[in-house]
Amino acid sequence: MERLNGGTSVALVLATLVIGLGGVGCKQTGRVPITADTRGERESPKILPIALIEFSDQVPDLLARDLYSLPVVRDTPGDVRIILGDIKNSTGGLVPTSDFELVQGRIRSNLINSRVGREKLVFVERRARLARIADAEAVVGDDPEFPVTPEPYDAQNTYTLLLDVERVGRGDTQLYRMDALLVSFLNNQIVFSKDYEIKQVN
Amino acid sequence: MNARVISSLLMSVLLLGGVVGGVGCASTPRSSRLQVEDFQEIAGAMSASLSREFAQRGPSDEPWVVSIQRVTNLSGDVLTVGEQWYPMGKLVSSRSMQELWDAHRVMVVIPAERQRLLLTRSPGEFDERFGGVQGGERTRPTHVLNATLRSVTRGGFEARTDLYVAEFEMTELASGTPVWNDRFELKRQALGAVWD
Amino acid sequence: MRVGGVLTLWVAVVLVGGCHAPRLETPTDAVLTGQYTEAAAFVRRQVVEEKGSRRYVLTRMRVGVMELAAGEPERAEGSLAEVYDLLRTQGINADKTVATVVVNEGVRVWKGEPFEQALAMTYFGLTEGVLGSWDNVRAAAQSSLFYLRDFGQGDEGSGARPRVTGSVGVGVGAGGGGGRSRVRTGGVSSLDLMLRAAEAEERGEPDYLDTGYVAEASDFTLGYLLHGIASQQLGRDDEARDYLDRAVWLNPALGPLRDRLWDEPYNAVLVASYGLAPRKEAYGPGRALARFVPVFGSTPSRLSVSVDGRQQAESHVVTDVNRLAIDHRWNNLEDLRLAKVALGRAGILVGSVIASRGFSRDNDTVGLIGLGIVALGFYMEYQAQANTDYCDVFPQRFYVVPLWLEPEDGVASEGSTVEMQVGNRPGASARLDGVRGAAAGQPAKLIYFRVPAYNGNGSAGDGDRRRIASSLGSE
Repeated sequence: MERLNGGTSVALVLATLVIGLGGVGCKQTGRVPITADTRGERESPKILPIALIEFSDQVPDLLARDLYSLPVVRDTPGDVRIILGDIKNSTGGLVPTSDFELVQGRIRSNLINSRVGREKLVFVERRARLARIADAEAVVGDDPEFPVTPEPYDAQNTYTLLLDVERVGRGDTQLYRMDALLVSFLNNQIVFSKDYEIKQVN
Repeated sequence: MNARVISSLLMSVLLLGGVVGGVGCASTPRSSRLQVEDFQEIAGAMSASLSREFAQRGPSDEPWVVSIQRVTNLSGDVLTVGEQWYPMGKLVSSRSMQELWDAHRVMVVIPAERQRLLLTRSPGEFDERFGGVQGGERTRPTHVLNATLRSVTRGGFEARTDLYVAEFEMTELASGTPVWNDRFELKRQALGAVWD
Repeated sequence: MRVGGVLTLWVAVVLVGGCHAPRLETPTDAVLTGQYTEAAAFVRRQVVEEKGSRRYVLTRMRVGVMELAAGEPERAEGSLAEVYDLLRTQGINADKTVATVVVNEGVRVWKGEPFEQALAMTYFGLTEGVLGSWDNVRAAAQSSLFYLRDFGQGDEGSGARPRVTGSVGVGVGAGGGGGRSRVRTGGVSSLDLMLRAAEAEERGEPDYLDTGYVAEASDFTLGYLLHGIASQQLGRDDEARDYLDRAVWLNPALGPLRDRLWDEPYNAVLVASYGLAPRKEAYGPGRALARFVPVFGSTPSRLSVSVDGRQQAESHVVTDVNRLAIDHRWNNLEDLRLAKVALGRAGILVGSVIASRGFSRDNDTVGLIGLGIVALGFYMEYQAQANTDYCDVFPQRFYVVPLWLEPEDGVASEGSTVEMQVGNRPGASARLDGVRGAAAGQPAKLIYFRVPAYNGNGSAGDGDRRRIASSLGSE
């Protein structure tokens, strides 16, 4: 076989590059795994989505583990009610609060579908929201029998799940901390806390 | 095979590669919006999950009257009203209503929003003696089936990524507790100038 | 800015001229007199069906805007959904600026200037809102609040990676207000930017137009306001507060509107528009650059709204489209890129820099060498006139007014009569009968209405009408 001449070699390299780059280019767009690290994410100073996912997976696991060991929970007969609470977003406006609602939603969904969720926890809607739904659904007339809103919740076994987020930013470096807190409605006691830190350099 | 032939072949490969690469990339969605197949996949997965929930109920269980609401869109992307109804409609329409009632004691009613529209567009169609103010009286639901779509958007001028989480839930109205909950997550990214 | 350089560039663009596709005809009379069904039919006839056509998006955008004005939100949804999907598609025009636009400008897909894209997204949101979907109003408003490219007054960003400053939607800082609007007007001129680009190129730096900017949060007040109202309607009060506060921070005159949204009950939100968007025209003897020229003036006239004969509210101008159109941050600088490529190929760009240095140092020889290079370039270059396609049916301004109307709750009633008046201009008024607000407990209704400039009984405005029609080339 003859040796490839210079032009042929160049063509070979170029062909490889074109095909290779074409492939890479195509792979970079479209549907990607939710844990994938993308260019759009790397270029943004906002907290990485993977951090939101990891944190919202960790909290339910730990909460499920700790819940039975908490005297206030263990000693309370019946179900433990949890209402999703507020999000304190102290990122200086850089990250929208709706991003952390996704975290809250995932924590709640994970807990509902966990063993402890099925056995001991009851996530309840805010009564105001329920009232709105019930109001909208009861189209014609008023029915005193119809439970427009559930009975007020008992503070003894009702908790709220809060989320605090803080950011420290210097130049291209951002440090984020998220903290999930389970707080008793009875005495404001924090009965569970789990935090998560991530430092990003853009 | 001489060098010229090899060279020609390689040049052909080069051109073909360019064309294929170009076509391949061009046909790949350059948008981080939810695509048609995403809607289908979400609806399919959630329908299967709901079936498993219904399967746990028998004919002697307390009846459920379920009202369906369209997807609440809290994502950063617009979904038309049709796109908001599509996955919810698929949750219901893929099964026999009669079987749902006979085997699992589940009845599905049209949402209040739709009923209001019907009554508004059909004034005087119904005899008040047979039902309420303007027509058929609403069968009051015991549960609502709804979904919320959220997204996290990241990017700059040349790249955008959207992480979508669609959470589906059936809630008992009397207690405010979820009786079924599941979610579908996906991420889409697109490269290229966001506006140009 | 060096006068010599600017002069040289100016001389250069004189010779970079050429032909362009005929402008789309504006249904001026129908729009100004409130005959929106006719106007919608008119622009529908101009729709381009070929997907690769430059005007594919533009013609659909015009149809959606007019269909919504004509009270056909279901039809508008179809048109605007397609526009939105294409606007959300990235990189449509990648590599076409250099390779294609100069050779054949018709191939580049028109997506509109950034301010036109933001308005198109807003119109999609308004359409969804009229159809009862506040969550989509929120999503569309969010989409309209994209980052802008700010080239500022200096060239601190030259050659560096674009920087992101500020944030969109929240974090407006304490103590916002102070009575002065924070929206900017004017800014850097096209010729300034061209000269900076030329200097960067001469220094061997990356393209100034691609790197010399700082990414800055949007100042699209209407987007923040609609996002805030939508969030409020969805029960997301914290988010609503952030966005409404941001709108007021940008335009303190909107403070009373924000307070009203929080303190007084309302069951309808009226979004009213008025006037015609500024006209895009090529300028400079070579007609190589493009600019927007107001058709309707940017007056501070308020919108007064009466319900059933009682004055219920007054609104300041929320967004003035004229202001966006002349701000370089709201323009994609396509004309500059086009002219720069043309000039660059001819060596004119480098000549401009040499000439500018020569003139700035009073060194005639160097200046003349530069001019010589420019002159040589003239003979080597072909023509590349700026494209002047623009969405001509957008309004000039927007107002937002929360209202309390006869609720839609099944009780037999005639509904409310809503009367609107822009300033005290004769003819700039409208009356809507039988309008209803949302029933108790339901989210407010969103009502979109385009106030005509001449409602048929305002003879005092006929002169203006002729002037506007004339300026749009349709009379």
